[in-house]
Order: sequence, then C-alpha cells, then structure tokens
Amino acid sequence: MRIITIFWREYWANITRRSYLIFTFGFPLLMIALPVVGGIALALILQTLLPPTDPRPIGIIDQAALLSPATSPNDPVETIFFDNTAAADQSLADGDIQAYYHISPDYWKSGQVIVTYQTAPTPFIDTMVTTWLAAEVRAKIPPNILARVDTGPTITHQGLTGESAAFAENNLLESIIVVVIIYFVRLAGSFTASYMFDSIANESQDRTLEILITTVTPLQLVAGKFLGLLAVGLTQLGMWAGALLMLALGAGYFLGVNLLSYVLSWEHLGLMISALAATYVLDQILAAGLGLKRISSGSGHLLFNSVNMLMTVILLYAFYFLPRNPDTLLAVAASLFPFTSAVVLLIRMVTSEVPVWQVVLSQLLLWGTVIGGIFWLRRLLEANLVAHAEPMTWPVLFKNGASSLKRLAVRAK
Amino acid sequence: MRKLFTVAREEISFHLRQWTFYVSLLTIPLLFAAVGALPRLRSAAHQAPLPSVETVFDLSSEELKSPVGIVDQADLIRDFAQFQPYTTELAAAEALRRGDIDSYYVIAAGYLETGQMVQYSQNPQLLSDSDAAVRALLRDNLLTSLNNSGLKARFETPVELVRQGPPPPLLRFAPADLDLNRLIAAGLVAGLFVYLLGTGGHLLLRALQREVKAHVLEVIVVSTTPAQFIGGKLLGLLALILLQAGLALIAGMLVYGQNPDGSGPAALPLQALVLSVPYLLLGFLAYCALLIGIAVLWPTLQESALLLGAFRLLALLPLVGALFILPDPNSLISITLTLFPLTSHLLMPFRLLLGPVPMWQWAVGLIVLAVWTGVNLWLSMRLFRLSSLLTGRFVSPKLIWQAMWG
Repeated sequence: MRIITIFWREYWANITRRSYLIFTFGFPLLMIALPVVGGIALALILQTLLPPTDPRPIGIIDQAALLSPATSPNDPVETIFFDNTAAADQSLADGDIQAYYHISPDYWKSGQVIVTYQTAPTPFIDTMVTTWLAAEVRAKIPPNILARVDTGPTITHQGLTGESAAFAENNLLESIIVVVIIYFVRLAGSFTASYMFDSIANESQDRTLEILITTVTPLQLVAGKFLGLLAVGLTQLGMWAGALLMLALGAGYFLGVNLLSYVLSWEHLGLMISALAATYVLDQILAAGLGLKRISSGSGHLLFNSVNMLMTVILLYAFYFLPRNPDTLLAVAASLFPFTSAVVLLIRMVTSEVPVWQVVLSQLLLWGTVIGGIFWLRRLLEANLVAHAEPMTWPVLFKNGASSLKRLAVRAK
Repeated sequence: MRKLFTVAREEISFHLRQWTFYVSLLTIPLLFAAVGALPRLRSAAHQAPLPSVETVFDLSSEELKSPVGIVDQADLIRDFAQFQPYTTELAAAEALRRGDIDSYYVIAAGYLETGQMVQYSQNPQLLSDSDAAVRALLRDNLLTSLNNSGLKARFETPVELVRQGPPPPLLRFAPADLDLNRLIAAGLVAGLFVYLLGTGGHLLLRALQREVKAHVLEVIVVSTTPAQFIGGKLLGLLALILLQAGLALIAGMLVYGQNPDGSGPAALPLQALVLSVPYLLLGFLAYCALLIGIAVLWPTLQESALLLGAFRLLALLPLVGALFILPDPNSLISITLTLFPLTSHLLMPFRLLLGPVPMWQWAVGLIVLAVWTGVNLWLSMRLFRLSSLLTGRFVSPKLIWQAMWG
C-alpha cells in the first residue's frame, strides 16, 4: 500500500507540473515549428535573391518541330511562336517579348537552344522552357521503357536457399521508420532519464527522504519513486506515440491504407517492443543509480552527459555505418551488449539476416541487465541514501560496481 | 560597490575551485583551434594507407568493387560492361557457390511490365553496393534499345542553353568574390559566441540554484541590494566568459590561416575581433538579464532549467540572419539585422569578420545594444525584488506588478 502511495505521489506531482505539461505539448509543436520557420526564412531569402519575373511573353522559334502552342505551359509567362529570327528580333526590339528561344534544326544532335534577350529572363522562365522540351522528348519514348528508365528496377536481395531472408525496396521504408522510432524513443528516454537523475540527485542531497525511511523500507521507497518517475516518462511517450498513431491512422484512412493492420502484422514488432522497453527501463535505472551516487562538484552531471554522449555515438554508428556492414564483429558485439543492443540489433534485423541465437542471447542479456540493475539500485539506496556515504570519486565508483557484482555472484551461488 | 566586487570575487573563486571548469576552459580553445587544422588532418587521412569506410551515403558508385553476374531472362542487355553474363540461374548459382562471383542479378522475363529483379548472394542485405551499377546498366541498355542516339542523348540532357545577351545574375547565397575561408572563420567565431552565451546562461542558473539550495539567499538579500547581488554575479561570470573567449580567440589567431595550401579558416583579423568583443559582452549581459527574469518568474529550478534549454534554441535563431547578410553584407536588411539588439550581438561580429563595416553603423549598433542591455538589467533587478527565489515565496501577477512599479 505504501509503495502505491509513494508511486502515486511521485506520478501525480510530476505530471501536473507546469514545465512537464509545457514540455509534453510544446516539444512536438517546437519540432513542427522549427522546420516551418526555417522554411519560411529560406523562402524569404530566395525571394530577396531572385530578380522579379518580367510578365511579358517569350518568343519560340521551333525549327526542330518539337513544340506546339497547344502544349505550352504559359506559366509564369505566355509564349508566342515565330517562324524566323527576323520576326522575333523585331518583336524583341519593339518590347513585345522579353526574350526568344530558338530551337535549331540540329536540336536532336546538339541539344542546343539559343536564347536571345536584352535582360536575361529569370530562372523560372528558363525552367519553363527546358521542362516543356524535356516533356516533349519523353513523349517520344515508348511508355513501358520510359516507366522502367524512370523508376528503375525493384530489387529484392535474397540468399540462395529458399528459407533465407529477403530484403525488398519496401524494407527500406521499414528501416527508415525503425530508425525514426528508435531515435524518438531514445530521445524521450534521455529526457526522462535526465529528469530521473535530477530528481533522485536532488532528493538524496536534500536528505528529506531519510524521514520517510523510518516508515517505509528502502525497497518500497525506491520502487515507488522509480515506478512513479518511470510512469511519468511513459505517459509522455504514450501521449506523443498516441498523437503520432492518430495522425498515421487519419492519413491511412484518407489514403485508403489500413496502417494499423500493417503495424500489428509486422514480424519484428514483438522484438522491437521488448528491446526498446528494456532499454528504456535500463536508462532510467542508470540515471537513478547515478543520481543516488551523489557525485560531488557536478561530476554526476558530467558522467550522466558522458553516458548520453556515448548513446549518441552508438546512434550515429547504427544509422550511418551499420546498414552497409551489418555482420561485422563490432556489429555482433554491439547487438549483444545491453546498452547498445536495442539500437544495433533492430537495425540489423531490418537490413540483414541475423542468426536466431544472437537475437535470443541479446534479449536475455538485456533483460538480465535490467533485473541486475534493479538489485544494484536497491543496494545503492541502502548505501548512499540511508547511511551518510562519503562523496563519490571515480575510483570508488568503479570499485563499488565491481564489489556489488561480486556480492551478487556470491548470492547467486 | 565593495559588496558587488565581493559577490563577483566569490563567484569567480567558486568556479576556479571546480575541476570541470578547467576541463571546459582548455577543451573549448583546443577545439576552436583544432578546426583550423582539420584540412591538414583530412589531407593526412587521404594520404594514409587506410581503407575507406563505407557509409549509407556511399551507395551511388556505379563501379563494381567485386565480380557480379547477370542472368538476363528478359533479353534486354546488349552490353554487359563490367558484369559477367550467365545464360541460366543454375550456372550463376554454381559460380556464386564456387566464389567466382560475389552475387548475381536475375532480370525476370517480364521485367518491362513488372520491373522486378532479384539479387542472390550468400549474405543478403538491404543495401548492396552493386545496386547502383546494375541500375545504370539497365538504364543504358534500355535507352540504347531505342535505336535513336539523338533521343537517348536528349533524354539524358534535354537542353543546353546558349545565351545571346549579357550573362544572367547568378543565384547564390554568397557573392562570387567572397573568400570562403573568411566565411568559415566568421562562422566559427559566431559559433563560439553562441556557445559562450549558452554556457554563461547555464552557469548563471546554476549559481542561483546554489544559493537557493544552500538556503543562504535569505541572508544575501538582507545584506546586499539586487544591483549588488546580480551585478556581482554577472561581473564574476563575465570575467570567466571573457577568459574563455580570450583563450579561444588567441588559440584561433595562432592556428587559423596557417595552412600552407591556404585551406581552412582564414586568419582572424585583430581589429575585427577587438570591435566584436563589446558586442559579445553586451549580448551576454542582455541574455543573462533575461535569464534572471525567467529564474525569478519560474522559481522552480527544474522549470527554469527547462526554459534555459528552450532559450538556448532561441539563441541560435539570430544565426538565420547570416543567410540574409551573406548575399549582400551592405543591404538594408543586413544593416537592420546588425543594428537590431536581438540579433546584433552575433551578426555584427559576423559581418565585421566578413568585411569592413562603416564605423557609424558599428557605433549605432553598440549604442542600441547597450540601451537594450541596460533595460534588460533594470527589469531583471526590479523583478528580483519579488524575492520569489526565497523559501516559501510564490509568484503572483500582483507581486510582479508591485516589484516592477512599486
């Protein structure tokens, strides 16, 4: 019962905080607003760089018999056809047209189009003419060849045996979605872990919880606080994921695609949920543990930031290098190491064939570390929160870790 | 005044006792200087006998790195180029097992209709480095099958415009005669200033949190005025930031412009740096004054830290203005951005490092920024009278009004 009281107090106090609500709702808005603002700024810059488009028509002399007035785009300016350069020159001199484009009889061989003007037409007008010509050229190619030249082949990669995995183009989309999900879950995990770290570090410094310790056991206290903060993070993540799901379902409804059934029938869904959930909890355990260490002089923050930086390096490796070489020794090792396995294993799963033993071992190690981490957290609480522990130093931090592992091993025996 | 200096001295001595301060004090100048040596490092890496590292962005090469076979069941390929042709899948599979080839592609009989193609290999994976080559092979052979060399050429390059008239103005963000090395140097100095603003804000919030946590703010506010307390804190931090900026800029001056081939950031001109530093200092003070306002209005420490994060993002926004300055540093919008106090602290140094700026503009920008900083400092000191950071105090609109105008 006490554990629920602590859990609920921690949970409710946090999710009703102004900053929590601002961040939960403001962060997605910021993620949308930043590219929009950037895009508007870029458009404004481009507008200032471009000269205004002259509204007068342009002339066309088509000696290759490729264009016709019926197919003229007439956007952003209209076109006037001339039979020869003398007429076009006269019209240009009179100011009736701003420029004329002369398609010579050897166009098919040379590709040359001579544009004559007094003031150069804007890039928009050049683009109108070149796009128009390209469309007419394409119209002369048989549609089945054009389609294949345009889109290229849809390549499926597979092994020689029938039961080997196959990777088609749609797996590319799948891998991009997986990368995006991993990135945002890790990002949300780091936000919550940061809060977990601050919250526990502050409370262990305030020492107000020592009063509570007289009425609850350390395990009840740490479990209540930890689960409460974990639920705070999961609520945030759930709200973002829910909003995304609603958007995806809405888009799917209008596009006539049942995205939900596609997601639910995805072969790696179970593994993804398991790996990301375990890593999420592991992040929080690590953050709570570092918070409890009460490392002096801000080194706790430094250590926590270093751990976060390591995670960023892993993400870079996994997104940038791994898809090209998914079966190297480094990739296999990173798939098994609990702090990197979620990211590396999941990306390997969608880009290559991963042996089953690696998947099973990776999950066992990951969840085993989570369980071990909970015991480590309990021991840290007893050692650092109740008994006035000495401020931590780096050598002691590693020594404590090693001796805790030894104690666990002895207990296991 | 004596109390102000006492607060400043204590703030400085606190940071000088932290080993993390020395780490950042050395790291930033080293990093700032190291960027100047990057071209030399890159050149050394190119000359080193190390294999190239493959990334997801190296997939566009149309050159095969290992032997690859093709089984053309659609009878489309006339020129197999670098690929090894096989008549049957069986023969290709046998060659793959023997290790003669690394993989082989099968072009299905109905390829023109379906576009389907399969690559077989011992270790199948989503991204294959021979896909670009096989795509090019198919495209070339399909276009050649049109039996119209002109059509193939025009499909690939529809138009070559020949101009009869003056050359059109070039659409570019930076003028053609702008020295790229100078631009890099200016960008690095602007980046350093952004970093220092962020660090200064972080140190200021931490300083306030320290007093609040230790419950000594109550003692401090009865023995000092807001001007003495805030002024002392800011003076102390300003000295530390100046130290860091000075070290980084000196390191940059020693390294930049020293590459024998002229690559990397250009040498930092002393005069432009001297003219830039007042902008950094005033910008820093204005930024910190705004942060004090935030800390006072949102006294919960975690909330103010969160807002600091958002503020850091906003502090980057003036850099967008650099894109307006690049095309023409003397345009009306460039001048406006370098005089406007919310952007001038970053954009005036950027413009000064790109080229000469009329002295009157430098002076007007500095005066406007000084006035803006003064207003911010005054506001922050008025708000500090709220005493919201004291234990048990809560901020209400009425209290804010009283603190401001009471």
